Amino acid sequence: MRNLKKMKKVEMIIEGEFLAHLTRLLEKIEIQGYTIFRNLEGRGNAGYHEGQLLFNDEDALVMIMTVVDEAKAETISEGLALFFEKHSGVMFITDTHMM
Amino acid sequence: MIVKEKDILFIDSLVESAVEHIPNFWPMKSFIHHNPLHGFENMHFEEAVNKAHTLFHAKKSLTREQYQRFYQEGKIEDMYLREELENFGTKCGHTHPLLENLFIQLMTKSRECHHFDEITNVSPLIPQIAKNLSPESLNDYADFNANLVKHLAKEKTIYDVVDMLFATNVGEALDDIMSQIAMRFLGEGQAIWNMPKREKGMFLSWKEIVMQDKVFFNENETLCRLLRETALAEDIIFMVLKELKIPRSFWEEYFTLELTKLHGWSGFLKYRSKSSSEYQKKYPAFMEEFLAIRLYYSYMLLKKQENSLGFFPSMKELGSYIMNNKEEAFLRAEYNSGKLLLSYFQSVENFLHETQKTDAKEIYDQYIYDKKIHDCEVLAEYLYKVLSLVLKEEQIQTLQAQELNAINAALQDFEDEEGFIWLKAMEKTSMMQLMSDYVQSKKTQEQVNSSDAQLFFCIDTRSERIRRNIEAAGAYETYGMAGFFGIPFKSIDVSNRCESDLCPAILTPKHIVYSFHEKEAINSKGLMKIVKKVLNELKYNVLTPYVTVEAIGALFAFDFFGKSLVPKAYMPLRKKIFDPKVEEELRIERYTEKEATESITAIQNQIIKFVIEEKFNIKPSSLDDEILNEIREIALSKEDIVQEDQDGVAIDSVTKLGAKYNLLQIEEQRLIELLRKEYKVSAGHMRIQKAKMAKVGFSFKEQLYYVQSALKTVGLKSFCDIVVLSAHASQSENNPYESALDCGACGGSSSLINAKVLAYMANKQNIREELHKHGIHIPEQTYFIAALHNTTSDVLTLFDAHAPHSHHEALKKLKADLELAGMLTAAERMATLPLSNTRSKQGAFSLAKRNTMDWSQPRPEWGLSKNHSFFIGKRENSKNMNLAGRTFLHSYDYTGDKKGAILSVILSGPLVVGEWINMEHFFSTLDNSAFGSESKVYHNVVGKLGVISGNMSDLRTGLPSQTVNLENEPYHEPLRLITMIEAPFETHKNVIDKIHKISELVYNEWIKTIFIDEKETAFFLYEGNTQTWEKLEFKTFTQGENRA
Amino acid sequence: MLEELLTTLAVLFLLPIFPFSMLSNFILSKFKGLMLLFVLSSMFFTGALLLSSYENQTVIVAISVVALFSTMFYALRLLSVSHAYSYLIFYYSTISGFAWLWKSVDGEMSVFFIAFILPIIGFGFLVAFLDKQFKTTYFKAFKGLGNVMPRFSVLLVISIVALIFTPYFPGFRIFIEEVVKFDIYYLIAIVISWLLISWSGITLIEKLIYGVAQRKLHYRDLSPLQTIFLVFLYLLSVGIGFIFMEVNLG
Repeated sequence: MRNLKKMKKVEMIIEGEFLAHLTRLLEKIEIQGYTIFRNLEGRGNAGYHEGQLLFNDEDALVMIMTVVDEAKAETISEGLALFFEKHSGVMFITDTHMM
Repeated sequence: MIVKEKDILFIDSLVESAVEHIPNFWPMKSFIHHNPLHGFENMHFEEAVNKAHTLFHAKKSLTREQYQRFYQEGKIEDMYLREELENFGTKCGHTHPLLENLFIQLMTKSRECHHFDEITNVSPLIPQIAKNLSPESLNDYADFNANLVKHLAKEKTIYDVVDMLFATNVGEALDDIMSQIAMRFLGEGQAIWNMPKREKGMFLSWKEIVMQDKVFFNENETLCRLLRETALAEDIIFMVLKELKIPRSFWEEYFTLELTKLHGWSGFLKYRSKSSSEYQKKYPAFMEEFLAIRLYYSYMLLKKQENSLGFFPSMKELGSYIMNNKEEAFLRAEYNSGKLLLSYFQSVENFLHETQKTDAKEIYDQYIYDKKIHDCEVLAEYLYKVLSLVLKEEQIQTLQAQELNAINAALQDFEDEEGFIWLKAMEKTSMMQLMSDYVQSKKTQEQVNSSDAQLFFCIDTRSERIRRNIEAAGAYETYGMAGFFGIPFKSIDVSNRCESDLCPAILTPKHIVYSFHEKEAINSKGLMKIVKKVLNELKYNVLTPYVTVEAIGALFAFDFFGKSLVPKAYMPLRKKIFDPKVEEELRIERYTEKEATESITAIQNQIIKFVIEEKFNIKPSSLDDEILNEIREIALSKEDIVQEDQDGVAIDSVTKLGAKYNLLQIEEQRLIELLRKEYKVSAGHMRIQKAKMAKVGFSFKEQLYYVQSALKTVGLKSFCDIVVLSAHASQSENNPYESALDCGACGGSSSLINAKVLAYMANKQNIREELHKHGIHIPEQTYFIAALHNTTSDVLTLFDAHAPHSHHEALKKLKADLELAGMLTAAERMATLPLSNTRSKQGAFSLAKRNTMDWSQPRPEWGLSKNHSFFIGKRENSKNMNLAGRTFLHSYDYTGDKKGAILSVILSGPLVVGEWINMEHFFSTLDNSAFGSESKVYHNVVGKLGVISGNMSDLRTGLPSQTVNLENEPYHEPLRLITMIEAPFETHKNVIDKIHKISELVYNEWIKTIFIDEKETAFFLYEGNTQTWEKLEFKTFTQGENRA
Repeated sequence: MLEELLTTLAVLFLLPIFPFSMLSNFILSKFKGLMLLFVLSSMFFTGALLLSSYENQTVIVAISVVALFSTMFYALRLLSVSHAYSYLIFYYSTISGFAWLWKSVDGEMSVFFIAFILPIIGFGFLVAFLDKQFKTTYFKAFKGLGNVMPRFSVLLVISIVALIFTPYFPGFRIFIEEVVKFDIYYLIAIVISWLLISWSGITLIEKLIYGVAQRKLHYRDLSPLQTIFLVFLYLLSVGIGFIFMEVNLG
């Protein structure tokens, strides 16, 4: 796999009301590309979250995924540690390769 | 840049976290009722109120005198008060036999029995009581200084402490400056002269201005030099915190302290920074920028104090000042906070103005001694007054010291809890009353054979009255559902170029509906248009007041007298001239490709006409289609106009336009460029516009889905010939809070368009055929009509212009009955409004209509005040309950909802909206200064988004005093929303557990929940004290006796 | 000669001008309540009486220059007083300056006396009332009296309005007369003094009346009798003010 670069994949599952905030933060530290997954359903410490709440966008779950180099990944994990302490949600960082 | 990237994230996350307790504030043109303590909903209600008391300096409850009034009016029953006192006693471990009686007497019979700061020596027993008080019950001022240092940057900002010690006004000056900056930048179109360069964003545009401010920008300061270099708000935040020597662990709390000072502006900025409004796109503003500016000014203001203080009050320096000048700091704090013993003012003032501070200790020691005696005597007098409510003099005399101190300790705990005790007792009384009424209502149910019409209303509490009166006027069935009828969309008024989201604020609508207003005849419009334009320009020009007042003032005076003295006669006339009624057309179906292209083309031609008129002063009427089409096609292509002849000289005019009006080629070129760049008449934009237009309207599948959901949600099984979908709106003049009286489920707008959309969809033949396959059988002769209930005048208007002839008679009868019902409703309501006592029902109706037009009326209607409950169930069961316009009514039939899917929709949407409305009223009544916006008399609208009090203040949030109070006493009764759900407890309780938000509200007791289980013939109440569901059988209410 | 010197000195202390005012104010500060009002009124009465029969025009003109500065100085001082007694005392010093200026343009001292004694009595009475109840008149001890002592607050506002010679209270007529008869420099100085006095009066109202009362004290309002007395006093003042406006004071 010669033309693949070693990178880190950062996935963050958060409540819908914080989506705009986090995407703006990513843009501030010059991360230009990310993907958003909506209407997630699942269970966590805060309880069960239903997928599609018909009349409520704020309390639904979303996931932001972005692929960055190691240094940036470290910046994100250190910088957002506080956010994930305070709000329900998780962040995963895994190794990956990108073309 | 001095901060690292990870610190940027860290600071921004801290800021986000710091404002989580500040509620959003939506601009007032779509006033959203919301819970001011929304950010605390993850904790228990009582805990949240206590926290808000600390954070927002808000009251925790109404005063005892206000509750005593409710008690005397029978709204709080003795029995439940005693119950709650018992619970309190158990919880806090106070079991002295005297206490129950003592507290009851204190709560219900005492007058002005408070802990005063002054001794009046009413009894010789007081010194004896004073002697027996244990030292623990009194304040020991020894650790004042240590506490102050501990609270520094945790509960008080640095300038708070500086102001307290040195009587400076830093906090006030800072709030003033920040209010001004917020107003200037965030204004949404009210100002004629705007702040320059707002496109750069809040921080950068402010930076440009402050660098020219000689008072607040000084090249000698490191901070100012940094400001010149950096473009990052986080840099400023970082530097200021460094200079003030505030350690990292304190940052979050410090941010919270700073940002809650102006929680109105912070709340608005919180909304705006996340909104997709045009203003935010053009002039972006974010919370960390606001914080950076605030910290910058706080630093500069504190720096200015350096000379008079003798040191720069960083956290460290200030702390050591407080600890090293113990006595002086304490005396200063007492003096400036107004807590000083009255006899010491002269000596302390002399001391503070002297240059030598040698006798600080002497004064301090003497003062502490006297103060402690004072505290003791004052407490003793209070205890005496309380005890004499239940004991005689001799009994007080023989009271042991131990007993006395136990009673005192209980009293102190009681003072903290008193508000909640009253609240819970009042809620229990209301809950019992509602349950009893329900049982009675069920018993007296009559069989209804067939109905003449079915009417849908919004769950709004005001619908309750008119529904009751309509049901009494004839054979009518009424149903309640959320005002947006389950169809969320953005409504764009193309003719007037404005848009609004017609759905609850918690939703982002994915559909768009266009509305068009018919064009009027050119002539009449032309003259009126000119008149309007001239009057407007006069109104907004700076020089007008100086020049034209004498000349044209009389014109406006005519208007003034008309509106004030004879509004009922004058206003309709005025409306006819300036805002004539026009027929509204809605675009509900999807556009076909052809239609989309045609519409966009038509709009583009209009734009081209407009631009040509602006640029070349050519009348639009003289531009024919050929000319326009040519210009348009050129703009849409990628070609440019400039053509040169062989000599390199530009030929003049290529287009028909140019030929007709002798334009130069360069002018034509400029026109095309302008159209492409500024007015988006280009190929690329056209593609985007087409894609956007594809979003307009609803596809067949979507229409089917929405009609089906609406009908299923209310459980409608059979249909009458006429089904009325009644929207509601209020009407008032000169009222910035107008949209607070409109439909909350539609984001503070009228829900009429939603009603029309649903009616249109439900009347479609193909939709009905499809519904038939899904088990919903709508007969052919059933006709859905949209209607509008004006909640201020109680006039119900049917939009039946296209109704079939066969329904003519029935509609005539319906209209007559609706008018009668409206009149009765108005009469009911007018009886509650002050100065509205008219004997006749006609008089009341007429007065209600006048309220819609009277610009001096601060209270056109009570709106949702006095709301206290939410009923989710069958209308037959609640029909005979007189709920006096206090209940949200949502139709629901559990027999058609075995899995609870419909219930979960109702709970997660309409109930949340109801809870927001209830909590808004609750807290605005509790503390109208902290959570409400106080009197309307002092309100000034700013930036077209909200109001301030006076000429400079924080943005006011919440409801004004006139909405929740009557002559300064609460009119709205602050009770948590009593939610009654008619569904089997066993099977439907898990709906609550499955939805995170609802379980938060129920188990943290933001609402009081009652399940009405018809099968078990019992109620199930959620009891917060025991955290269990208690069962109460129906039959306990049937003998007219309450629970023993 | 000696008699004239003594008289001049006496008047300089009774209608105090800086620096003589320092001694007068020191003595006045030892009194409290209605006693202070009595002493002050006596000083005013005696000073006015003596000044009215004073003949030496050159001395008066000379002193009136100093009086002008004294007035401005005390008007400024009024802005930073911290309790109501010192307000009363410094106010008296301020208008003493006006008295000298009035005399220097041949004004009738009796008119001046009547014009200013009524507001002073009214205000002094209210200050004494405050002191009697709370044992202090320091502004920092009070806040939001408007809510808890409505009668007192309304009358306090009226008394301040009278003190700062608002139109139709008699002081205004005096003020206008003076303003008209002097040349431009005096005029500016007098107007400045008026502005400063007005500002200080409004600040006093703001400090005492505006806001929400924080301390839980037993706020006892004026009795009906006391209220009637003060209302009568102010109606009388306004009546006299009307007369002054219409009649030529010569």
